[in-house]
Amino acid sequence: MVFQDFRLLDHLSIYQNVALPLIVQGRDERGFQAEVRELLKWVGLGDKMTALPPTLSGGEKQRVAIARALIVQPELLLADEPTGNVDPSMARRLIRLFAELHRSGTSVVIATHDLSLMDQFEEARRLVLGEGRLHIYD
Amino acid sequence: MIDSLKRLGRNPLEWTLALMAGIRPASANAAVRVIPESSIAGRALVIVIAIMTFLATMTAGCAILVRQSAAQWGNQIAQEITIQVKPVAGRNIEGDVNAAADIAKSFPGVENVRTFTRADSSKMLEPWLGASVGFDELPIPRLIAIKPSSQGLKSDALAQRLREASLPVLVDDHRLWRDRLASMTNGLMVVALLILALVISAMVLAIAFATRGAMAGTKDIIDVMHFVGAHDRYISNEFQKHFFRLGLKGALLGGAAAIVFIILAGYVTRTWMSGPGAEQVESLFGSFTLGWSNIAFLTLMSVMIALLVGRVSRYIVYRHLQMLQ
Repeated sequence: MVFQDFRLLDHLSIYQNVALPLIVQGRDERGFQAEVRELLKWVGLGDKMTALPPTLSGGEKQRVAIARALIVQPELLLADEPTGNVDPSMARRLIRLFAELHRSGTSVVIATHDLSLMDQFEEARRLVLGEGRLHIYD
Repeated sequence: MIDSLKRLGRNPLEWTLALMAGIRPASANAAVRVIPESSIAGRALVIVIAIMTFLATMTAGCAILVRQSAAQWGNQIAQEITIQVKPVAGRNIEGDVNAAADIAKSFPGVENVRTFTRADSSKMLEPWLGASVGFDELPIPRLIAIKPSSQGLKSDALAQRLREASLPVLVDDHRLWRDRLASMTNGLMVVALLILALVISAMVLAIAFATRGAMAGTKDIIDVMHFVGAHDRYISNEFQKHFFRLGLKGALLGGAAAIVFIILAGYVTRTWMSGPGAEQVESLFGSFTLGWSNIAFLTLMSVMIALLVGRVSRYIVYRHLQMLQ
């Protein structure tokens, strides 16, 4: 799950935030170190692994939150307004990231008010809530 | 195994104490401290625990010193029996003293007999009556000090023997003083235990409040932990580790400060003060000297306080998590 307000632990490094779901499972760090590093590189934060969340921009924080959600390799990713706190160019990058993730086999459900952003990705299936009804656009 | 233990703390002492406090190694990464290491609430808690441990250790330390002194006084008193020869009109007191001393010397269980002369008795009374008093005119009793041998002396039998010789004597084995001393020491021990119990109760309450305060500021952390899949047990374990570290820090600081204070107080009374005040303090508390065994006991007490902090905070955290649900 990815939240609009990121929900990162500010006193932990980016690397530790992303590794947190594996740490609470009691897994040995040696087993997941390479995996976390690779994922952080994939979301474009390979050079900021030791940085703390308060030093990152909104877009970077959101990418950390996405990486944390992905580290457990979920079949389904729920993103609640993931682009709500980032600028338009970063929002487009994030959406591209979700599209790439979808191509690699993860189902992605994004809740957003930004319909124009979603229009840029016509291949995405849309479920629009309006006037108490759910409209499905394939 | 070592990696697993390293998750409990930085060194073997922390590992051992953490295991004793019931903390299990759950985190796979020693460097990850889910609860922020330093916070204002954390620092305040360390100071509260340090002060409370200082008071508890000082109470226990003073109780040990009083008990040691009382035992020392008791031994000193027990090592001497006194025969008091009363002056009786028409009798030669010098003859009575010599006769009593001769009987005492030949009595089984007597190691040494020391007869106080009339001058010795006058000198002992001088501080109370002044030097200008004519001691020759006063009917001052005379004293014979007897040191019992290691096999023991039956003071009642000696008194009987002296009475049979028709001597006007009183045998004092200081039993009355020893009994009073024992009841005074027991009373002080009860008071010390009571103070200790109150200090520890106050500390438990302070820890409970501080833990609740610290928990209130960590709601976001708990939410994130739940969100990334951590169970209540994992979260309470992390909190317990955090508070255990704070407790250990505070308890060792307070305990060490109290032990250093007692040792320094002994050094100061021995070195700087030589007046009657210091003598009074020394006569009550002894020479402020704690043996290694007592220092070890006080250190153990500090460690027990740290364990108590860990246990109390775990209980509070677990209840808090249940309330959140």
